[in-house]
Amino acid sequence: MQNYNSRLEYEVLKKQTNILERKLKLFKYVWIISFFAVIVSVWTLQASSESQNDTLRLRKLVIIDEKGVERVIIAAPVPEPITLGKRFSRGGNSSGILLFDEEGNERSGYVTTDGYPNVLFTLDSIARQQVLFMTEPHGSTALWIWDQNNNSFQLNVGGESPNLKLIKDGKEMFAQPIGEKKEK
Amino acid sequence: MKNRYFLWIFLLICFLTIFIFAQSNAQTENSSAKIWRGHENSVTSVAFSSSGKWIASSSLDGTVRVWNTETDKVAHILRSHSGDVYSVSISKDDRLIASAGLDGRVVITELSDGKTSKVFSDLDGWCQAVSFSPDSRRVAVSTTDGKISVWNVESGKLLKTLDAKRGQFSLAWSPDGKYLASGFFSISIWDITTGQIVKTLKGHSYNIYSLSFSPDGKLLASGSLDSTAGIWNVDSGESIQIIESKGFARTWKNKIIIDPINVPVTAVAFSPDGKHLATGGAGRIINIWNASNGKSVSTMQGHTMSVTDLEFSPDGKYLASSSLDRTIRLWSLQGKYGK
Repeated sequence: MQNYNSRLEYEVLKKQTNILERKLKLFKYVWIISFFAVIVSVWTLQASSESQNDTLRLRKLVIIDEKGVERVIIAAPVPEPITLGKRFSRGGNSSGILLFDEEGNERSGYVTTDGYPNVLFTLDSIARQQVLFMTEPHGSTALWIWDQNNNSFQLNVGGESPNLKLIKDGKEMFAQPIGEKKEK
Repeated sequence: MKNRYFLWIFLLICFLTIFIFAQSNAQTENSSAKIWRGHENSVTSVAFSSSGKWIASSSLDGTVRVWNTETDKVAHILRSHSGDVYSVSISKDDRLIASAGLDGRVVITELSDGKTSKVFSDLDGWCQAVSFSPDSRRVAVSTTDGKISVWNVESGKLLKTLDAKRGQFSLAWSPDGKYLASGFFSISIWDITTGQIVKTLKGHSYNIYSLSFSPDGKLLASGSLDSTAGIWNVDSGESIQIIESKGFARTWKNKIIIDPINVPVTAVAFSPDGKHLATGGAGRIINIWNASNGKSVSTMQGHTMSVTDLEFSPDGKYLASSSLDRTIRLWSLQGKYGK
């Protein structure tokens, strides 16, 4: 009877041990799979966040100074120009970079224009445009400089031939080539 | 012993002199102008009420503020616009405020309680200038599409649309309400009954930001970004005075330096007696000139950025100025006329 009991106990213990061994094996597999899953997801997350940092997609970026004045705008399209508290019409959409002075007046732009796709760079005084450097889509290029009295220097290349003009008080003081248009 | 006694007296006198000098400077700054802060962006325009009790100011922060000149406090903050507000006007009967800006709407507000009374919004482009007629019954607004619209304020009916071709930066009614002056590169004087231009005043070479009729309507003052202010004979259309705006105030090592350079004029205002003209602009300085001979009478300095608008109080004792420095200053003119 005693022998029978001890054999029965042995069988029960063996069964339980087998069950525990199987559970342990399963736990091992689950643990290994989870470990790899965590590694793969961390790696994936890292990779995706890195790719997000590389590219910032937006229509407008505004940089402000310590007083809250907008000093740099990168936008497509850029806003209409503002000078001394009044906003002008640019006469069409442009996209690119604008610089503003400490009072918020637009002072420079580096943009491409919509419609007729010129690319241009301007330097402005508070009141007006003083420098225009522009290239047209098919290659003609111009550099125009004005002073506060509207005297100007104009250099154009492309088209028929390059030409250079100096204008003072609204009159042409110097031009090369001279009278080219009249001869034609 | 005697030498030491004199030394102490000398030091005491020096100390007192410095103290009195510092105090007098502080008093000059405090007594000459009240400074009102509150706008969160550049202040673009100011308007005095006929009673002199209220001042309205417009700003690029999208608000119009109504200030009580007796308490120096804001009575109303009007948030009826969505975007920059460029111009504000108070009706001569002290009942209404008109404001206009980037949202292309003219908002009429009750001065007493700050409640919106009417909105005129059927406009193309955005608004540059708004002005009540002297009889308080009409309001004119210029828009960037080159039109000037005139409404009856009570009925809300559009009375006239003037085709100026280009967006007019400034508007001013003649004191009799028969004519409206508008400024772009030249000044157009419109007969408001016929809707026709009766005079074109040419002389400025760049944008005209401000216009002001003399109280008798015989003279018209203009302020331009070409760095000059002009005084015109309205009847003949001739230029009487051309005032060059010289002087740019900048701070260098905590000192204010005035550079003698030409600067754009953004604001002109005739004094109520018509004898003086106030000008202001990118130089950050306000000048008062003798209107008959164009000579400088007084200069006021305090704004740290460009002056955008000027208006005298109806009694001529004060001058209100607005600036890109986000402040409004109310200058006492006692002793400033050179009398």
